[in-house]
Amino acid sequence: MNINKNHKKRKGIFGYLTERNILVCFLIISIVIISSPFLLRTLLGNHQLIGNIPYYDSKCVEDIKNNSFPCVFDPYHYVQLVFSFILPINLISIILPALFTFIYLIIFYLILTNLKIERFSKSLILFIFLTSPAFVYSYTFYPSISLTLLVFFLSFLLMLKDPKIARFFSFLLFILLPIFNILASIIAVITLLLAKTNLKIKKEDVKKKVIWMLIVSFFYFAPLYFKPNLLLPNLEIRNTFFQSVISDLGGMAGFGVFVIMLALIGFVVTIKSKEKLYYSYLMIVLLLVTSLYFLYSFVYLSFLVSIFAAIGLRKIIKMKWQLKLIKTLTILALFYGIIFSFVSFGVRVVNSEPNDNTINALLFLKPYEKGIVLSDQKYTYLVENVADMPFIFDESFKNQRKNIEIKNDVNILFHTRDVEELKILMHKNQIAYVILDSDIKNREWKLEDDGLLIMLTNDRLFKNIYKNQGIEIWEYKLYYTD
Amino acid sequence: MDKKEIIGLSIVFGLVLSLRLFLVFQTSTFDPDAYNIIRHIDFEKKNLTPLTNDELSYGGRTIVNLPAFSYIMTFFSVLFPTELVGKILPNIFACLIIFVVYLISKDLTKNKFASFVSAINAGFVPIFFAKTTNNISLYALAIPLMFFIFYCFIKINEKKDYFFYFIFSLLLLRVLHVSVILIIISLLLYLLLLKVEKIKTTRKEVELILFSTFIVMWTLFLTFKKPILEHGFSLIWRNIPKSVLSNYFNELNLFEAVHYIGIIPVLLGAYTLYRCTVAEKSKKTSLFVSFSLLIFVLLWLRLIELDIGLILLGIVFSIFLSKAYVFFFRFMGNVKISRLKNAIGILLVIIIISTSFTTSIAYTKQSLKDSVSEEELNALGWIKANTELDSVVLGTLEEGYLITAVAKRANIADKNFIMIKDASQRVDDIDLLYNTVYETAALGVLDKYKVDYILFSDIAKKKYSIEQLKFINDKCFELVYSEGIKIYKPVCVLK
Repeated sequence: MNINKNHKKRKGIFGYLTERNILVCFLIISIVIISSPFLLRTLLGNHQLIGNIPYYDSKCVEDIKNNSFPCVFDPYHYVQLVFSFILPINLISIILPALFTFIYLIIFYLILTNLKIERFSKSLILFIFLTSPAFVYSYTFYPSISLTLLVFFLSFLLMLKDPKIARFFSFLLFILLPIFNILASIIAVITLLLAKTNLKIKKEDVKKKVIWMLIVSFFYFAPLYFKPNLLLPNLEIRNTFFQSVISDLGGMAGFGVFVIMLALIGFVVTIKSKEKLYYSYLMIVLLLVTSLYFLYSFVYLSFLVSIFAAIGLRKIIKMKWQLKLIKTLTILALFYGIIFSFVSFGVRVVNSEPNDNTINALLFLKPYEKGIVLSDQKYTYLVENVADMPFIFDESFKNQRKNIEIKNDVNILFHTRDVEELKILMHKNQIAYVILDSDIKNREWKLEDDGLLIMLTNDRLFKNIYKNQGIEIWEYKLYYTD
Repeated sequence: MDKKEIIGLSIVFGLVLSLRLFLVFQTSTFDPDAYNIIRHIDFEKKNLTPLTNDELSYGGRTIVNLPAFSYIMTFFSVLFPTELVGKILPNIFACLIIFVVYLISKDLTKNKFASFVSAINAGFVPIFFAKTTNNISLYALAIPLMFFIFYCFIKINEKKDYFFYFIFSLLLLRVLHVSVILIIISLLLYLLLLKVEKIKTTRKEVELILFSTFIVMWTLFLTFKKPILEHGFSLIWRNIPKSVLSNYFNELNLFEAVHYIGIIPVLLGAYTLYRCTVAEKSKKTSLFVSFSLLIFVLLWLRLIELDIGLILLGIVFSIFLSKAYVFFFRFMGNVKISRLKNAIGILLVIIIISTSFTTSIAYTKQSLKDSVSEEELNALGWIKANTELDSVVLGTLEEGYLITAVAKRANIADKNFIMIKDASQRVDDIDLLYNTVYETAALGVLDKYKVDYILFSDIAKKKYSIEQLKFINDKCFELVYSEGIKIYKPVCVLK
């Protein structure tokens, strides 16, 4: 009896790491983490969707219904369309990504189990992944990626299974992946090559999948090359590269500083078997480069980073420490640090725009005569979807060649003190309304009488038609006379 | 340490401290920057809480800083007058560097005489001496503490007590100053250096480095979360406006380094650094090699303030001096003139001490001249006594702390730029006001910040090379105070 007790005591926390316990904890934590941004936001009185891309998705669904189709093709919109016949679109924009995320998390768990990842390491990978800002970003700010990841992981899980039917579906899903997202298909190809190097998978099988994926990609993307709206533009990055990678520095996705440090330790630990990991290094470099253009690259990167960070964390925990107190304090600092980054990011997500005030302001504008709206990029899709007005940046994304030109014009419009220059640019871009809020004012102008702010006080040019809780809408008087 | 060593070091400590106090009491005022700490002390004495919301600085702002140093000063200010504490305590802290450098040097060289030379030199590093005498500078405590942490680290394998001293000092430095990050980076660099040189590290060292890294990083992120989100990487430069950035983060210049650190320490320090990096690989010295390399790189990339970088280099070079001394006598032992080695040794010591000593005194005297004048304190006292509590006073950037601490009135700008969005604009506007000849431009600035009084002092005269404000006229500006320093009250408004 005593011996048993001692044995249990010695095992400590590892004694509780049974497969069942891990799965139960993982499921509970997943549900809490997935649901909390939406629940907390609602509890705090903000009933709007998070970010502006969900509004773009809603707009696309409406366009599909109306047989006008200016959006980038995305199967997610069709799934939304199906559900939109049963539920309101705003609710679908929350439920669907949450559901897809939950399913792909389970699949991710099953993949780790199939790969016979040791239980402790598996727990660490799942913990780090679930608490990574990039993961939270995926189902809140960029919901369509949840379906892509579901397909991505399902194809891999099926590939690891023996039955022929599973392999067939795996093959099918792989070749469909390019339709979902070009980056996902590139990552899938590299992951297949990585799997070929490290797992017992038939080389012919991998070759076949890669070739077919390339063929589908070519036929799918070649015609799209001539269309400007091939990919959704990046709306979130206004920071430097490092600020985007490190969420603690204000990035809207990325990773906590501790996870990055642990991943670096993991990287050093695994450097001995670098030959087997070349493809993972390639993937990291590729995703870091693409993250400059597409913030959702961090979501794909977060899987790899979580694995490397878990290796680093495991190394620290399993290391034979001479100073037990230091070990406990270090591990506590690490866990608290990871959780701190996660909570700090979570607070930003919950408080992120748009809020009820923004939507009310845009709804106020809706009955006005149609005219292009000038504002910050963060209003992209919101203005078009909620206020039903054309937005200066929406226009630019439909014709990306004009994008840089429009950005330059907006920059001049925001900062010019020359009335004639303002008139010329307002006329050139057909701007009828200006929307400003306190966040834009703080970011763009350092003084209250700078650039456009001083121009707005000129009542021969502008008329204030809305002012509530920091949001202002101005009508450009010369729009009609022009 | 034996009794002789303690007596010897105490004498050196006493001499250096006496000299510092002699110099510091030549003036009854402080360097303008010191008044920031005085304001914090005053606030903490009254409220017991740190000053986090300053209604006077920039007309109202949030302050994010580490209040440990001001609390230490406040504690003593309860017992003694603040001015006296400000004059004496930082100088005592700064003199502690003598003991720390001695201990480190002795551990590295096992040579008592060489260590004494290093300790004396550390007491007279010109830039450290001048910058910590009359400034109530936090670095007076932070720098000896930093080197004490290094000392504890090199001793952790020898005695268990050092492990606790290390942890305690690290945590103290963490609540004292962000320079703790330099310790972390140099410890990591030290690990890398040992790996490259194939020198074995002990488990204790790795464990302590890991612990320090994570605990410091985490707590720093907790404390500075808002400024990090607000400024991102530019927080390294403390959000200092570009127009004044070069005053702080300047380019490293060899002549300046020689002037501020001393020619002999620079030459011998550089030689030792080279020798320890290339020829003689010692584990303990590697820590200081990695630290000095880090400071060089940071100075080169302008990621550290020039003054701070030079102070740190000056102290490391003082430590290296003892190594150089040992190298030199090892070399002397191999040549025929070894009979002269004692005479040469003493001559070397005299040269080192005399050059550092004289430069320190000269540099400190120069910096004492920049202290606030009695006239200026009187003028600020007049503002405090004769103006409305909510008045806004425009002074130079250097006078920002003085306006809030002495006159107790709101300023337009001071040298704490963190969390200030329009810092650059405010600094430019102040410059514009002192330089403009146009009344309308001046009134524009005054109107923008709702300025009630303009302070025109010797600091402004010196900074802008002017004898009077060119836009001033009797119609729009009433001269309300004129006793050397002039205070104007604008009475016109720009329409």
